[in-house]
Amino acid sequence: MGESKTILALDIGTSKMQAFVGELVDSSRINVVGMGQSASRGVKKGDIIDLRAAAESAQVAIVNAEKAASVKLDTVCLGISGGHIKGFRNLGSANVSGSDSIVRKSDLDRAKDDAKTKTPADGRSYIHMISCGYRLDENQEFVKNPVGRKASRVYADFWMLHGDSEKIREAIQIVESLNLNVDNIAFSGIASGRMTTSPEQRENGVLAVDIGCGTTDYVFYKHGKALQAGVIPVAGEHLTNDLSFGLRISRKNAERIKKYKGKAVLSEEERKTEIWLTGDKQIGDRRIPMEAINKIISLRLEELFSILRSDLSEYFDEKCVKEIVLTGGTSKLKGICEFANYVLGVPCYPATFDNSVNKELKYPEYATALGLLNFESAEIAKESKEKKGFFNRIFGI
Amino acid sequence: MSPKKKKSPSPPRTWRDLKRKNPKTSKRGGPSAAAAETRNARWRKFSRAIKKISSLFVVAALAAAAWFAHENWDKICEIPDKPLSKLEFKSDGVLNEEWFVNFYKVPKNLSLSEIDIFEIKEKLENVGQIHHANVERKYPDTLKISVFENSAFARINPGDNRTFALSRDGLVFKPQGDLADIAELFVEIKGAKMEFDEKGRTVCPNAQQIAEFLDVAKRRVPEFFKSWKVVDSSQVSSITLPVFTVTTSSGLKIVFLARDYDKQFDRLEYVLRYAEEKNASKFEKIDLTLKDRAIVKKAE
Repeated sequence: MGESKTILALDIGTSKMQAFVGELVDSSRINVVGMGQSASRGVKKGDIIDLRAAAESAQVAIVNAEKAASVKLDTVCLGISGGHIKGFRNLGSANVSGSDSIVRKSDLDRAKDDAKTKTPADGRSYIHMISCGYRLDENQEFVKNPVGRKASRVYADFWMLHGDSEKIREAIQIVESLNLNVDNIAFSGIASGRMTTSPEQRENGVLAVDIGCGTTDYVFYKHGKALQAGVIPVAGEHLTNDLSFGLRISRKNAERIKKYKGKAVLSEEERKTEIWLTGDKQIGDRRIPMEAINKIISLRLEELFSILRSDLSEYFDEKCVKEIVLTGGTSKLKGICEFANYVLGVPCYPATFDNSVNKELKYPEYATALGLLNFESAEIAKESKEKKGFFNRIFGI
Repeated sequence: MSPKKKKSPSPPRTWRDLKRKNPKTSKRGGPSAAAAETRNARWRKFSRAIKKISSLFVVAALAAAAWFAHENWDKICEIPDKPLSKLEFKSDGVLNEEWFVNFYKVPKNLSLSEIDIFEIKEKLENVGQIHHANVERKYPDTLKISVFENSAFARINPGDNRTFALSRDGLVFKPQGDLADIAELFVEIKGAKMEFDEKGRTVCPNAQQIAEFLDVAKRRVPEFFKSWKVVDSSQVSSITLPVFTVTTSSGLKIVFLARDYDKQFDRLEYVLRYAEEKNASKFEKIDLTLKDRAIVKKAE
């Protein structure tokens, strides 16, 4: 049996904070041994607006997870999101050094280093520098591994995901105030995308969309690599606000209607039905047409998917997006997949998990936290591989 | 003019550069690090600090103990050595401390460590009456001796006014202490075959057989057994007729076959009871060797 290492993942969300403790076995399998949740306070649309309140919520989740796992940990893999997170495409390039014009690994490394030297704007910091692949000379065709091919210049394609430095620092401080060290930070969309898509889907072209409470995070995969990731500041909370404002009901009732009665797509018979607001038929209770509810929900969802389409227009236009996978708490809204299919013109499915995930954790709201554990385990595996490589070089083992 | 060295561009700012080294304030003003410190966080810091201090304390205590042991090692290992002042003597038989004191004179000027306990043990085990002995030093000033004696059941008189005791495992030895007096009361065994064992001690190979016979006798005729004086075992190894000849204090001779004692004692009891009831005259000899009968010779 191999060594085991225990890792802690924290997802800072708008509606809840989730902390998962996982045991990494044989550098590949993860057993979730503890889970902690708390209602999120001080976070709005993914951004931290009250540091102390957010710290208290996060710390409750972490302490609960540690208690469940009977372990005290020192490092955390932190998941962040928020409207401040943006991305841009960056191309690094390097001339092929060999006189025979054969591309070597060192040429790729120089192209990657060239891409990574671009500094972000003032007040911004990189969260991820996602390698999207390579291109050779002026050819715009994507090449996964150009080593051994002939070219005079190689281009390394990167998607640079960056966020507001202050907001990232505050997220780090939430964790460091509990005497924990942030080992890695991952964008929530990338974390949930890893868990809800298969390697085959990522090869063919899949868009993973995590519709949470405050933000919608997305990541587009093609040729096995993430080509674009981003945040849309429209999500489940907006649906609730719209229902509250449009139907002139309290937010609490609006949330309940969205959860239990809301539908993105209605059949002809359902359009004619009405529901009771509270259902107890007391004074204040009234009937609300399903059509009204559906209209409010569908308008907001249409806006959301339109923004999504606009952000990923080059991929939608070239029909690179073969399917869409929806995850996150709001993806449980009935009919949302059909609605997305109708707006975007691409087959849309609810997220599924592979067999490595415990049956009790196969829920879309756990996708981000599980993805963070997965992300951290991959980083640990990469580090140990680099260490072994170092020892091989020095000692010739 | 030498060309200016091109400065390599500083790496881009990633989230790792934002990890706190010592930021006290944020751009928005105020101690943002302190703002995130909740009660949970303070308690966690406090308990970790306590654990660290306790570990340091334990390490310091272990280091101090190691240093103290190193400085005072000789004193620690030194055993307090005084002259012998107490003797604890125990035996499972009749020997006592008075006997030991007369047997072995412990030199008074020697400390407890200097006393040769192996010599004492060897000397004690050379006494035939002692099966084995344990000799221990109990610091600072006590010598503890435990002896386990051979149990004697009969005596042997070789005819020169010396009395030897016979143990159940055949050892013939000179009785010591109170056993010397007790042995006079034992039944005398005559004609017993004697040998020397590998340690040069005199042993009687038939002792077990003789002891069995006497045990049966004690059990069957306990009052009559008290009058037994001599048991002649010279014929016990005979192939044709192995016998024990018992002589009582009144001169009566009883001949037993050296096996199947119960039936013989049945007949003996009958004869003695008959003699008592009928007020018969004294017997000179009772022969129990024949099957189903007893031959009785009356005294003249």
